[in-house]
This record gives sequence, C-alpha cells and structure tokens, in this order.
Amino acid sequence: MAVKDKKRTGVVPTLVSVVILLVIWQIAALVVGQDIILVAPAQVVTTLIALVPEGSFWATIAASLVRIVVGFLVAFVVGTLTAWLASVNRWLGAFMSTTMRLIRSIPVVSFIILLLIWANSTYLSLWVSFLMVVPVVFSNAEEGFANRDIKLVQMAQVFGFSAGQRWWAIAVPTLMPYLIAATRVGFGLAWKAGISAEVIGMPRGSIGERLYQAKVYLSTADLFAWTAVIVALSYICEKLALWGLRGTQAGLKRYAS
Amino acid sequence: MIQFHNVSFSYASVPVVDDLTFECADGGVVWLAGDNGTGKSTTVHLALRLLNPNRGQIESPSAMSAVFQEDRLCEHLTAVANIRLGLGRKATNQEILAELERVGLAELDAGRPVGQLSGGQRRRVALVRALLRPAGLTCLDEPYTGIDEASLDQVIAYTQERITGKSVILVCHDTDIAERFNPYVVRM
Repeated sequence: MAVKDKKRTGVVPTLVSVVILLVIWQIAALVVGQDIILVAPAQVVTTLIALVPEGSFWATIAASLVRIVVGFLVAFVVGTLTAWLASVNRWLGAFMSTTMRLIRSIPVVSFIILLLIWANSTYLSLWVSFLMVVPVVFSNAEEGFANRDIKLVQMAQVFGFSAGQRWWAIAVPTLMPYLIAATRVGFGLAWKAGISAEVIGMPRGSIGERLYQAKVYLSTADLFAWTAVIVALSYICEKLALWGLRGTQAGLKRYAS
Repeated sequence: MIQFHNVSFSYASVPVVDDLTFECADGGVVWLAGDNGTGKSTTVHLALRLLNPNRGQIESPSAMSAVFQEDRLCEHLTAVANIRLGLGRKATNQEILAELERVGLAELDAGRPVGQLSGGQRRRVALVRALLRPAGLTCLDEPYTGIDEASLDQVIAYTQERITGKSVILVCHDTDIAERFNPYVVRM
C-alpha cells in the first residue's frame, strides 16, 4: 500500500475548511445581530468591493507593503549573514546569539514607543518588521549552518572548491529548508508587528491609519475589510518569497549542470 | 610524491596511528593493509590534511583528490555537475559523459540528481570525480564498494589508466583487487 504524504493538505480540504469557517462566521453574525459588534461576511465583501476602485486604497496598500517588505528583506539578509558570521567565529557567535535573544524577548510595543521617541512614524513599520524578523531568520540560519554536512565540507576542502562553490553547492542546499521555515514564520510576524506599529504610530496613508479610523468611527465592516486585505497581502508575500527561494535553488542547479 | 615521517595520531589520547613512516613516489601505489580499526582511513585523512598529526611530518602535494569511505557527493546536483565541481578545470558535458560511459554509466541521465542514483552508480561518479582531477595525490578508500562483479574489471582498468603518474594511497580489504595495482604494502 502506498504511503500518503500527510503534510500535503490539498486544495479541496483547504477550500472546504474556508467555507466551514465562513458559515460559522455568518451564523455567529446572525445570532449576534449587531453589525457594530460582528459584521457578516457578505457585508465585508461589499465594503471591500467599494474600497477597491478608490485610488487611495491602492496607495495605502503600496505604502504599507513597501515598508513591511523592505523590513523583511533587510532582516532576511542581515539574519543570514550574522548567522554565517556566528558559524565561523565562536566569540561572534556568542555575541550574535545574545543580541538576538535580547531582541526576541523585548516586547514589540517597547520597540514601537522607543522608535517613536527617536524618529518620526514614517518608517516605523519598516524598523519594527525588521526587528521582529531578524532573530527568526538568525536562529533558523544558525541551525542550518550548524547542520552543514562536515563530510561534504571536508570533500570541498580536498577538491579545492572556491568560496562561491562551497556556498552554492553545500551551504545553500543545507540552508534552504531553514530559510523556507524562517520565511513562513517571518512574513506573518512582519505583517502583524508592522501593522500594529502603524496603528500606534499612525503614519499618513498607511493601513494602520485606516484600521485606527475604523476603530474611531466604530466601522466594523472597514476593520474586517482591511484585516482581510492584510491577511491576503501576508499570504501573497509569503508565497512570492517561497517561489523566489525555490527559483534561486533551481537556478543554482541549472547553473551547475 | 607523498611522505610520512614518523607520524603519530591519537583520538582523545587513544593512539590510532603510531610512528608511521612511508613514501609514495609519483606513479606509485601504497596499499594500506590491515583489519578494521587499525587507522587506515585516519591515515588517508592525515594525507589529505583533514587531520593534523600529533607527532611527525607529512609532505604532500597541493592538489589532491579522493574517493572517501562514503561517496560525499552533492546530492541535489547531477553526476556531471559533481564531477565538474571537483575538476578544477574547464570540461564539456560530452567529455565528462564520455568518462562516465567508460565506467559503465552510459545510460546515466545527465539531468538526474545523484541522490536518485543507486549505490554502485554513485560510487562510480565519486571515482570518476577523483580520477579526472589533475592531482598529485589521489586517495582511494574502498573505491569499489557497491560495484557489481560484472563491471569490476572495467572499472579497475579505468582506474589503472587514470592514476598514471600520480601518487596513490589505496585502502582495500580485497587482497586480489589491491594486488592488481602492484602496490607497496604498508601493514597497519
């Protein structure tokens, strides 16, 4: 009997799960009976359809998207490079691990308030997403570097591989599963923390500002519509990043062959 | 040429190699003979400068190659890519595929990662990688493990042709195979 891959859920079960959640939501909205407390899914869709043609809707998305994605990408590069430095020097490793542990344990609101004291709120979400993601990428990449196959490293030494060859033939394939895991966790964190920072700092023309306005005007439909936008953006960003990582890996294989 | 002068090595104060002296001129083959656990693979690692001796001196050439006890191939890369990486010079796909054909891998799909190959196929890829590299010293640690009897003669003949002019350290439990290289024997 063939063994099935339990990790792959499949499209149909996922869609069924989404439908079940929507039905539960609809029933709960009907039971509550007050839009201000719990809006129905259909009304959220109507609000979204009304928002989409507005130019400001896309400008708002672009503003938040750029800051959060740039924060994530910088964290990805810095986290991987610092993990590599930590793997080559014990003292640097201890310093980096301590720094990352410190960043990880500081509450996100402390960072937000401190950054607001130090600078204006324009790039707040960029810094906050960076600070949330960098320890995640570091710890994953650090584990990846630690799990490099020492026998392959020795082989590369004997056969005189260049630094570039060692990197793409041995380090990248070992690191890839760890970087994929970091991307999955990291993009979700970047969006959650980045938008929280925008709600507190309220930079002009950001998604966070629109969420804050929804709260002020008790517009639950707007709150849900923008939340749906954030969930969709986070999902798309994660999928694009994973596609990019896998594409890089496939490109390296083609280059080697 | 490789020379071992009174070389000793211990793992955590357990002596593995004790006062070993031998030399292997260009074109010569040294066969490290002995039972399991007598320090043959450790001697290979010392020769390849992957370990430093506790005592004594080793003089070895700068360019080296090896077939290790394990294949040590990059699993995600093809046979051609693995061989090209270890080659240290430019080579066309045709050139590498022709070499693989000589050890009985004519049917090998150049696009398949070596992780999908059988043990015997992988061993041949590791052997071609070691023998094609222009190296002063080539270490062959149980190079014919997993290779079927039917093609053994062909692979040994290929090895004999490709080691011409190189210093070779051979580790092989099969006395008949080792003696076909007319080696200088070092009992471990």
